[in-house]
Amino acid sequence: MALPNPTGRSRYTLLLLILTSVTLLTLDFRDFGPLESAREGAVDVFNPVRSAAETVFDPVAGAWNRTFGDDATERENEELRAEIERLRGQLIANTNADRLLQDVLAELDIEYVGNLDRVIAQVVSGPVGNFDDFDIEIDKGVNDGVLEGMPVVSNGGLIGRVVESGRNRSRVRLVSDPAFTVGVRLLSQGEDGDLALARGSGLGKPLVVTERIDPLTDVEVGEIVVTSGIDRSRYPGGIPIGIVTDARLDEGALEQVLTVEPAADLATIGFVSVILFEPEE
Amino acid sequence: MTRVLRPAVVVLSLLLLQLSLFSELRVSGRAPDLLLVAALAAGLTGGPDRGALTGFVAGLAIDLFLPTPLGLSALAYSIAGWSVGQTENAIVGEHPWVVIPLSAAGSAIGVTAFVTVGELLGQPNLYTERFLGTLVVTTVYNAALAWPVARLFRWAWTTPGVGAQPRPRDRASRRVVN
Repeated sequence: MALPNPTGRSRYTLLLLILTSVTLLTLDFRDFGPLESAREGAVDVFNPVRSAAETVFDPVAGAWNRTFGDDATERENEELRAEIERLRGQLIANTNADRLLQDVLAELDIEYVGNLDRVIAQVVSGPVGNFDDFDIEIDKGVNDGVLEGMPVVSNGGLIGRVVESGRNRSRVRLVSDPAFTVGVRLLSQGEDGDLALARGSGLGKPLVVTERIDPLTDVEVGEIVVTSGIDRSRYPGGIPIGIVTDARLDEGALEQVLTVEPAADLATIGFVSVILFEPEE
Repeated sequence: MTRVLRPAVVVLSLLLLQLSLFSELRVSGRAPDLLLVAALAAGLTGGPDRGALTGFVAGLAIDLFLPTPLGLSALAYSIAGWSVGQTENAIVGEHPWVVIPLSAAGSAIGVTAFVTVGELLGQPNLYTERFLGTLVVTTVYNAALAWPVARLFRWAWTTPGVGAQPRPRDRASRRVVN
């Protein structure tokens, strides 16, 4: 009698699993509704247990980070960073340009972000794995009015947007993500100034503003960059993005490339505000 | 039922630990991947079939909490679990000096498969300048955790009152002896 061939059988098992995975990937790419609902449902069921476990293990994680993690060094600078963020926010609030913005917005009757409803949320989790460095999780979700696409700010300015919202938790993609783009303009130029695009360039790195900043436009270091808030933009206008630290011409000298230090300190985010803003269709 | 229950409990516990604790225990900004370790440990202790199946389930579980598409970790981890189980089948038992280097190799396979397939699917932020560092740190980290997790899976494969369930390899060899 022929013996069963375990290797052949296991190859068959692996092949089946690969095919199932590929099917799932295909369905996910096609935004297959039932799959998305099942995913959200499973996460919602698991999250209360997860939150309880996070509370239990929090002291251990804290002790580890204080001792071994990058946070050991970060911790020494944490207070200084918080102070810098506070001063940046103050600078933006006190600057003449900000007053100009308020005047311009008041004249044009454009809704300033301060008038929009917002939900304060706590950051409950950072990245889960090694390839989601630009995501954080907050403790507010659909039940609190937080929906996918909503902008998230801290005291300093824009920190990202909601990319996934569960019942009581949401995932926020940070502006430092190289795939993150946001329409911006220079605060000093007002509504009629050049519109450009800011992109993240990695953890701890400044944002880069490209596209459509005229080479002849006078951009000075220290200028404030805010969201453009043009029609159908994902973000309301006037949210501080950061401060220009460098301005240079691109290779073809056709436009300027600006380096912008984010107004919000993305390394030490504790509490954030989700602006309950939905762009017009 | 009990044959599935114990492995399921182990995988769920590892998922909980990954989400609530190990994702914070970072070295140079990189965390271990307990669900990948689960696939490797299952392969080492249960053979390629169980390695692949556990890898698929564990990968699917962590996929729920990652921004990458559903099925990507499941695909990569089932390949890793199967490869380790297959290699272990061809070598010897579950001695730590076998478990650790095999887990390291399996971890590297899992991470590389995840990034390669993700890149092919156009996912951002996978193959970056951090990739090599991530590969090295997670490989070492995962290998260090493989031995205790393998002990958990050795427990998971036993049925209460019966003992360890035979692996496909063992079944085949027993028939030859009889």
